[in-house]
Amino acid sequence: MENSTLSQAWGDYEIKTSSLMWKRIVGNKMFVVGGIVVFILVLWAILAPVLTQYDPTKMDFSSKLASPSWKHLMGTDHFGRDIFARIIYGARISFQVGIATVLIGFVSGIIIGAIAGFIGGFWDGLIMRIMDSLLAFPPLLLAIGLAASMKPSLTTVCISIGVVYIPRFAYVMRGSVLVEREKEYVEAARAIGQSNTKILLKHIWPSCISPVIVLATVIFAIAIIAEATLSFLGVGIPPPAPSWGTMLSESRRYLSSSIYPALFPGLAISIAVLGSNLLGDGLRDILDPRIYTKIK
Amino acid sequence: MLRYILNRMVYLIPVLFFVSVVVFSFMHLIPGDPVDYMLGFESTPETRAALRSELGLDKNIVIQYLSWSGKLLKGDFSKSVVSRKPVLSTILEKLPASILLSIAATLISVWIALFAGTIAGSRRGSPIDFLVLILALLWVSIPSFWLGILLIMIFSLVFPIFPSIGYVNLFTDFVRSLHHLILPAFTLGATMAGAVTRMTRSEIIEQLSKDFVTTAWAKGLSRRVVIYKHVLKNALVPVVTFTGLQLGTLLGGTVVVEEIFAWPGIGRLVVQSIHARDYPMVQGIVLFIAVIFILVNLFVDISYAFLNPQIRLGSKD
Repeated sequence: MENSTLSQAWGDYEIKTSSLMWKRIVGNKMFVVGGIVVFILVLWAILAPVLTQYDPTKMDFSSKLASPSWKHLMGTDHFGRDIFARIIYGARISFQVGIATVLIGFVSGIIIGAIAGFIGGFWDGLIMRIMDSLLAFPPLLLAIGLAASMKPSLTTVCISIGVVYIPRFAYVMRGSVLVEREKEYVEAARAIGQSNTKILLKHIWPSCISPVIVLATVIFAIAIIAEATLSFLGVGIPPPAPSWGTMLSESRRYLSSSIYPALFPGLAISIAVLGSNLLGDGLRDILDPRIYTKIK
Repeated sequence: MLRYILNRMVYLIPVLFFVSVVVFSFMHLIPGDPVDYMLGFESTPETRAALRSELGLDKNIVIQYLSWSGKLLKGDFSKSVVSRKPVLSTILEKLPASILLSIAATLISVWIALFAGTIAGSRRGSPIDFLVLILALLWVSIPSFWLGILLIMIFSLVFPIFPSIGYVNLFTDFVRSLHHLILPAFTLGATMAGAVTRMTRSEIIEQLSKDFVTTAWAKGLSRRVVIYKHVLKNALVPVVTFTGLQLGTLLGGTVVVEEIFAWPGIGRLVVQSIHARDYPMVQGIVLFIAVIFILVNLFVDISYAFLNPQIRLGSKD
């Protein structure tokens, strides 16, 4: 009798989490707009050989600094290279750096943060002091220092930027783990004899991942700007690779002759970062822990 | 309060140690022989040996670090490989230009943010609020070096109002100094303004929900008095703290902006040193800026604790 009353009550109390979550996703304008922008740019990057006939590194001095036309949609640079081709091939570089940087920071940061937060005590203090020392540098300056010390390449740029942002991931993960480890379900897991590793991986980790994922989208946007900045300063991806930052750096000398080599790479960076920022802001709102519930 | 300050200073010791280790490692990340990389293969074996000895690279790595950090504590940041001048004196020579640029940029950023953030926060949900939010997001997304190039295009090439490069000492010619300062300061300040505007808007919205504001409205005070005399004053403390914490963004931004506008500060010096492979200079500048950053953050922490008793009383636990 009691069981049927309880099951009826449970049946009356219907949690439509998944369908409400889907509604929140499609209802969040920032996430949708940001998602569309990023999707289009990723599609461009993947379909680059289809979208343009031009080799982004091939020079043609007969048409240098040309204005936009049907032949060259965004004009050409000082070496006669097609700017549209360089922009969409450059998107590959930007997204590769963004994804690699986030992976480096994310994977390293959540491992460090989870261990520090779970163990606590002396090791927590030591690990977080090391993280603080990386946070003590202005991020871009540290990335410049690291990138300048190593052989210029895509890998160097990814490592330099990724390392800079490990502490941010570590701190967010550590904060979440500190809160979760005091909860009753963790105590219950310990009481039934589960090991610390199992508690951390199976119980605590899934509850802590949401804020880190939101941070990942923010860092993705920052990584795009950071790569462009490093390349602009000459310590990023070496020419003739079509990095948007390198394109902007090279365009400075020819501003009085043509604005297009400076205009389009800057627009590309701004749109990519704006899309990523909108995506991150929208995701933060969607992953807000106050999940809707609905009572019939 | 004294205990809070001492705690914060003691906490800095391991941080400074690890910072020095990170900066020390720059020289050792260089592929191959760092001396060959710095001097090039045209240099003589004697020159290379002399530099190796000067930088301590002929010794064991632990001895190298101890020797290097020992010199740092005495204020010896080594000598530039290019100019042969002490690194610290070169940094101090270039520092005033960077300080001038940073202060001007911060003032511009704060003025833009206070103005836009207050209007947006006090008219939440309105078209103006939406516009300010979009603009703030755009400011955050536009790279500073592109903004600088656009400003040079418009205000130095198309409409030649401001010079695109150059620096004049503030005390030599005040008006000309400001004339050269406007474009780089605006470029750097605008980059920060987006984040500070969003912060200001959030604080204004939060303050408007407080009881003292309801009382002010009930007393019949005008909108201008409520917003600018009561709400804004309370919103300023976290906004100023947040602005102080944006120093990292500012210091990173000066590297790029100084390079675009040929502004002779330490940001431009670090880029020139990298291209000249002057690694003692690069190490010196990065360490110097990191220490300044740490000290400013310490000052901001202490100021915030002084203004907010919850912070310093919480630290006793």
